[in-house]
Amino acid sequence: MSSPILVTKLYIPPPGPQLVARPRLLERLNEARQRKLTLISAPAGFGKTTLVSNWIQQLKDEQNLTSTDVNKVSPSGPAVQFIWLSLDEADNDPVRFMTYFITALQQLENTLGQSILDSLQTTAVATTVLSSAPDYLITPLINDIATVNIPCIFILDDYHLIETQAIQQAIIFLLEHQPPQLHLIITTRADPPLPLARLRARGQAADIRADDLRFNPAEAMAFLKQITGLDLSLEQITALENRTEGWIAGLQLAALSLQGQSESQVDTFLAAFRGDDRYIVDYLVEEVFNQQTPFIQNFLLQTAILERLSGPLCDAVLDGGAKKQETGLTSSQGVLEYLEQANLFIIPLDNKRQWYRYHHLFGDLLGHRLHQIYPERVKELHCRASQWYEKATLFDEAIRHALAAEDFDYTADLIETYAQTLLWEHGNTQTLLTWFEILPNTIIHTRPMVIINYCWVLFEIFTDREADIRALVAVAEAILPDRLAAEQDEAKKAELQTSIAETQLILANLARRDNDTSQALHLAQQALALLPKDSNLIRAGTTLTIAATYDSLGQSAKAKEIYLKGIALAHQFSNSYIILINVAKLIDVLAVQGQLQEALILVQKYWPLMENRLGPDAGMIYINAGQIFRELNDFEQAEHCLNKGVELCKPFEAMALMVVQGYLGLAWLKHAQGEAQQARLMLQKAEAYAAIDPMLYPAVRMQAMQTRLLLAQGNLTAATHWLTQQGFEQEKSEELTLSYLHEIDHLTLVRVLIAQHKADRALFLLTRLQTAAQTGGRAGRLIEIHMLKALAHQAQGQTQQALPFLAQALQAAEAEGYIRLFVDEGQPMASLLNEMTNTTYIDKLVTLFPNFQHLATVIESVSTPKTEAVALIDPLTKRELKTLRLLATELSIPEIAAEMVVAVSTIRSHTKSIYSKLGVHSRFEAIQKAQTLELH
Amino acid sequence: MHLTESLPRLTLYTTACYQIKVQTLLSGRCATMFNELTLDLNGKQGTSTLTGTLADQAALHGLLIKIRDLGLPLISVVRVEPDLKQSNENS
Repeated sequence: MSSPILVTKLYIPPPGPQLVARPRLLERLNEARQRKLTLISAPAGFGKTTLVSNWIQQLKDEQNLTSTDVNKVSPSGPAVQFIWLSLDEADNDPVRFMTYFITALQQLENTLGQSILDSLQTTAVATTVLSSAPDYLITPLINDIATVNIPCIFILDDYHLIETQAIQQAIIFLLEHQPPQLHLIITTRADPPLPLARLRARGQAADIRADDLRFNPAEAMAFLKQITGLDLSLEQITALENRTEGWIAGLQLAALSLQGQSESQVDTFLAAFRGDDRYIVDYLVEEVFNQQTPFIQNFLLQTAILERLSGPLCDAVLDGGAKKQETGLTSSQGVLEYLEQANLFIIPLDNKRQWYRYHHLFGDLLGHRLHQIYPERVKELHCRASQWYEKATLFDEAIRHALAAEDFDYTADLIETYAQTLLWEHGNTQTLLTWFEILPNTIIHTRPMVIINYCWVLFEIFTDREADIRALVAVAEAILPDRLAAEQDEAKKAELQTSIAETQLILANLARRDNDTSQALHLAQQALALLPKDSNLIRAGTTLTIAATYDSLGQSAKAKEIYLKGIALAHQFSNSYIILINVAKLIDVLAVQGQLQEALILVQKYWPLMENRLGPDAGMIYINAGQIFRELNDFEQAEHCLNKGVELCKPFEAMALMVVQGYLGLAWLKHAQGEAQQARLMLQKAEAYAAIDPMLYPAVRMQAMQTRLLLAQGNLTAATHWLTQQGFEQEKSEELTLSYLHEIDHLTLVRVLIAQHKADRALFLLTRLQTAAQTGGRAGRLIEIHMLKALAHQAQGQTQQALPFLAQALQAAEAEGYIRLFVDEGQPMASLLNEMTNTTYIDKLVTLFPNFQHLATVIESVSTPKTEAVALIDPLTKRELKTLRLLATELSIPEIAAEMVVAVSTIRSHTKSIYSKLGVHSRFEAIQKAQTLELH
Repeated sequence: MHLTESLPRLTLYTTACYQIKVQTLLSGRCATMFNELTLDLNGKQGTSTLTGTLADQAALHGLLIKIRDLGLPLISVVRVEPDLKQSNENS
């Protein structure tokens, strides 16, 4: 399902009447096609939008002329596609912005960026991506644009309304990687925080500013004559031009005031504001407004609350009395068309005369006036607008007006109908959060469905608002049973029943976050029991929570069963996101169960579905599949999957755990390929991501994984160090508390013990681990345990006792295709395998052991100390900083002196002082130090 | 101090020199955000003064937006004589 789109935002505003020809500006705009960015930056009322829409019209006319005569080349170059996006304040929600941005671009090619649109709609986390890694969404978009073969000019109108950092980041990234087909035109009232200086310096950006846009006296004269029809004297025109300073909106207001006035009245009018520093807009709007009939005045005031105007919407907003009509204007549509003809600061938004907006300045002043004259009417007007938008199923707008009307009950009604879609299908959590924060608690607390959606939003966006969520759930739990008992309507009953189940599911998820598995399980099962038959989405969510909980308890068989159920359920209502999350987790379970081949079949089955997705859902599968491929010794496939998975998961903080696993997989892969340096690098990356959230990936686990790789690389010292550090040294194997959560750590402990010739302790621990793995049905882990038992016996010199264990492990491993499990154990395993009776499988394994030469380059330490940027005790002066900047160039000292217009001796003394402050002895060292200290 | 009265009349499109003071010692990456302006630091007061010529009011507002987005507490915005820039640098 696609987000509701206000198509008027994408219409190119029709050009106004061409009152004054402005060839110099049109020429500047023609050059936009040679540049990445054309910035039209000027305050309101300088005719920015009008200029661009007139220019587009002119180019289109030329293109039409050209198309009839193929031999004639248009003076302004080949055909271009124009794309327009009128921004408003609501576009500060990154998801909404991107949705409009891509939808607008789809006019080029209707599949362009579709995969990004899909992932925006299905993942509530899309906001996270845009804030943390815009390139992730923008790169595929850029690639798509690069395949289009006609040039495209994209106009972002009213860009000053955008304040969100994430969106600025996205635009900056786009500008830096802009395909040559694309040219941006940005109109704004203030220079946007984009790297303008750099773009200008490279000739990639140019400006059209207030000074360019304002009317010169000749243009002002032509303009005034057109509008007023008066033959004004040069003196009068100069007076008007001086007073308005070429500001087009001012001149237009003045011209409107002068319409139909006599020569003598003109002089009176001019005298009234000449030489006066009053804010002329107020004065002029007053003039223009007072010239209108009371009916039009009333219309203007009452519709001033609307961001966009259409006939039917205005009809709905105007109160009954105003509709009765004296001047032959029978409907609001008629009034709008009259206003357009009269040039009364109304701008058509489409070619069909359906939607309009007031010129911002005019609209603002009308709104201000409305608040002054009829403060009591404002709420009611908003309320009527909201109702109209609700009927038109434009819920965003409906809710915005309802909030403005401060009709919170009605707002809550709207949110209840709409939140589910917004939350689960569009992922507009940020917008929802804004609304919830405006709603008063007294309203929220009586609305269980609002509470529940509020909880989900809080759960999605924050990790530290658990107390708030619990408090809200408690309120919902207290009111829901009574509501249910009182409800007669069956459908409503089912909704309330779902809400009750959802409260339990929210609590279950909180418990899972706290690692309280038994409570999570209990609550989720309760939720499942409470759910009415057909609430599929919530059921799928609950199922996933339950399966994941069993999974984390090591109950693999149970987890597998439920993941499969979840997949079947999600297929019923075709929710790819839920399908893929279940599949990803199932692959991991299958690996623990030693069912590599089944996992492989699963990967192949869902490969087509994954390939089109950009979300972490597909990323998780890639990483888990990569581990399977690595185990099977398919390096190429493994590397591809692990890298791709890491890329897809990286932008999401909550996916840090997956990223760690991806990098660990890559580290082992590099180790197997004999690239020790690379292996170390991957390990460091894993470490960095593990540090993001110690709750998700405990430091103990990270150290265990490091130790295991170090040990494989022959570094026993580091491994022993880990053992001591963890306190395993003192602890007796029989006292160790086993849990699935720590199984991997304990399997590492076993390896270290074997390497330390403490094989008896290792064997004891292995026997205990074996029992646990058997109980949990973790056949994959059993293979590993048998293999390790063999190694432990071998370390004790009991080769004959070792062989049966190895045989047992190999027997189970062969059918599934295990390779790295054995080969990664290195030399001891190689010699043990040589003792076994040859089979094809064993022969294959033996040939895969490396010759161990690369182990000569044993890694010293995994984590190298990082040099910290330290602030200087004695900071550089401004002059010294400037000198330092020039030292980083190729200029010689005398040239630097010339550049700074000072004597060479002065530069020498600056340099000396810089060196001593930085503690360096050469120009080269100084530049290097400056870089590490970020002194630019 | 500087007499704004002596400066040419300001319009929305006039190029003018401004001095903007914020309650932060700008350094490193943050300082590079204002490359087109001259930066003076006052370590004692913990303030930074940015001085430079701005094309027009839209450029000035763009600069104020940048200051807002960086979260720098704004102390003052003053229009100054263009040559004050030089004299200030030497002081």
